[in-house]
Order: sequence, then C-alpha cells, then structure tokens
Amino acid sequence: MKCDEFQTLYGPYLDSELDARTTLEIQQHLKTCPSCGRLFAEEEKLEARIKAGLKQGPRTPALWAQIERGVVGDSTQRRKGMQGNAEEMNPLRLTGSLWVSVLTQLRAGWQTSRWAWAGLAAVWAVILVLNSAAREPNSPLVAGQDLPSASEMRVALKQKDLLMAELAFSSEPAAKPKPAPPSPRSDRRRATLNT
Amino acid sequence: MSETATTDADRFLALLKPIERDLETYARRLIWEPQEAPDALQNAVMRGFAAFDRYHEDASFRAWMFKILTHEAFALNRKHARIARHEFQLEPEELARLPFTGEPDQGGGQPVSSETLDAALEPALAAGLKTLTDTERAVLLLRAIGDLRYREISESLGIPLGSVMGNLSRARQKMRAIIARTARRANLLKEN
Repeated sequence: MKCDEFQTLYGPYLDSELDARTTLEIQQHLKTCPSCGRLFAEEEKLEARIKAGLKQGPRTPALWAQIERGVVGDSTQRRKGMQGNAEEMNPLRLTGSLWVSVLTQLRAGWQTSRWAWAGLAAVWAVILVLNSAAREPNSPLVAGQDLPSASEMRVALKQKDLLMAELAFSSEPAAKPKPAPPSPRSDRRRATLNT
Repeated sequence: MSETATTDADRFLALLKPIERDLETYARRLIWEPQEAPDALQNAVMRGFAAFDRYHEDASFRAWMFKILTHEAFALNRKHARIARHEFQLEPEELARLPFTGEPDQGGGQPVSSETLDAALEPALAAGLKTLTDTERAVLLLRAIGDLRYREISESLGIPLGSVMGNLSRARQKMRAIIARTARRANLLKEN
C-alpha cells in the first residue's frame, strides 16, 4: 500500500469499517512507513479528543422526567382507548346501540320532514287501492282457493269442446249453392250491363 | 390488554434510559437553536413510542431513536430556515493548508500543546460545527455521539454509503482546521 492510498482510507480505518484484508494491509504499511505511522498516531489522538468533546453534554433530569411522564400518559390513554373499543365490540351492546341510532335517526327525520313521510304514506295507499281494484274477483289463481283435479279438468275441457262444437254447428249459416263457373261470354255480357 | 400497554411503555423506557444523555447531547449539537432541543427530544420520543409496535427486537434501538431524532431536528432547522444564516464555508485552500493539526503550522506557527487544545476544544467544537452543512454535521455527530456504523448512518439519513464516507471526511477536515486554528490562537495569547 502507498502513502496516498492510506491517506484516503485512514478515516474508515479509524472507525473500524474496513474489511479484514485492507485493515491488515494498512497495519503493515503503518509498521513500515514511519511518516504515516506518526501522522496516524496524531490523527487518532485528535479524533479521540473531538469525539470525547462532542459526547460531553448534560442529561437534564427535569426534561427526561417530563418526557417519561408523557410516554406513561400516552400509554394510559391508549389503554383506556383499548378498553373502550373492547366494550364497543360486545355484540349485544353493538346491536342495541345500532337500534337506538336507527330510531333516533327516524325520529329526527320525522320531526324535520313530516310532509315527506305523509307523502310517502299517501303514495303507498294509492298503490294498494289500485292493486286491489285491478285484481279479478274469482281468479282461479287466488291463493287459498282449491284447484280442480286433473280428471275434473279433463272432463271440463271435454264438455267445453263439445259445447264449442255445438255452438259452431248451430251458428254456421246454410250452405249456399256453388255458382256455376261463368262462361267467358256471359261474364262479358254481365259486365257490360253493370256499367 | 392493559398489561400489554404497560409493558410496552416499560420496555420502551427501559431501552430509552441508557441513551438519554447521548440523545440530548446530539439534539443540542445538531439543532441550531439550543432552546428548541427539548421540544425536538419530546417529539422524537413520543413518535418513537407511537411507532414502537413496529420496532423489531433484532434492530438497534439506539440507531432507530437517533434516526427519528435526526428527522425531527432537520425538520426544525428547515422550518426556521436558519441554516443559511448560521453556516459559513471554509475555502478549500484553507482546508488544504491544515491537514494535520499535530504538524507545525505551515504559516510558521508553533505546535499546539495538549493542554491548550483541551482548553480551546469546546468553543472550537461549537465554532467548527457551524462550518458544517446539515448532512456533514449529522454524519459526524451520529458517528461521534451515536456510535453508529456507516451503514446505520446511511439508513438513518437515507444517503448512500459513499456519501456517508465523503461527508464524514469533509466534516472531520473542517473540524480539525477550526480546532487547530482556535488552539493556535489560544497558544499565541498564552505566550503573549
């Protein structure tokens, strides 16, 4: 190792930040180079003085007592917060508070917008009336009414078919005689007459 | 649950106790206005405690607290924009003239005695710190007071390892220059 190389590395060497191999090289250089060895010894001494000087400072007991009280106070507050959260997490208490909240909201809503509630009720009543009026009185699909059995349905359908056939037969008009196909000549004559 | 909270505070304070003096010294040296150091310390400790559940046992509590305090101090210094007012830079040639204080001054001065150096040290340190940039001062103090490794300093300040070494080297050079100058002046006054 050369002297200029050592001078770039003496800081990290002083702080024991170099790897084992470089440290060994520097140690060997310091043994063989009295100039660098002397300079490094001075440097090490001064660095120790600076470090000791910078480290000198008071510990203010009153300040640290206040800071520690702050930490303990914060811890106590945190503990209270955790206890409060645990109580709130109780399901019964949670459901109860939810209902109270909903009822309070409804009551507040009712008090502040009574006309809105009245309008809503009126719309609801109109919908109910229209619905009941539109419903057929003897609708076979009304809930609770008994449905006919399959055999009854078959008999009823057969009777209905017979009735329909009878009606169709009785209302059918008498068959008119088919007109003879007109001869081209008579057609021509009829047409001349009609006009 | 209450026991956990109490244990957290107890554990935190037990870890804090041994480094209280170093934290206070660091804050007083790093922050420009010494009267603001208590506020910075209180804020840093409360922040540390608030984030204590994220602290891992295998990490260095010392490095962790110094990091929080550094951020607090930087924020205070930035807030009051006092850096520009306090800092003054040494000329590079002035630094180059004074690489080693143990050497006779190239300007013809006498070697500085150990006693003179000790007597002049505290005002020289205070003056020397004012010549450093925020990062140089933080790196120097984290190394000297915090006893942090380069890697820990790099993580605390969020700068590369090479920058830590560069800043530390410049900071030391400036400090030595100021200390040597102050001590020589004191030596001369003593002789006269």
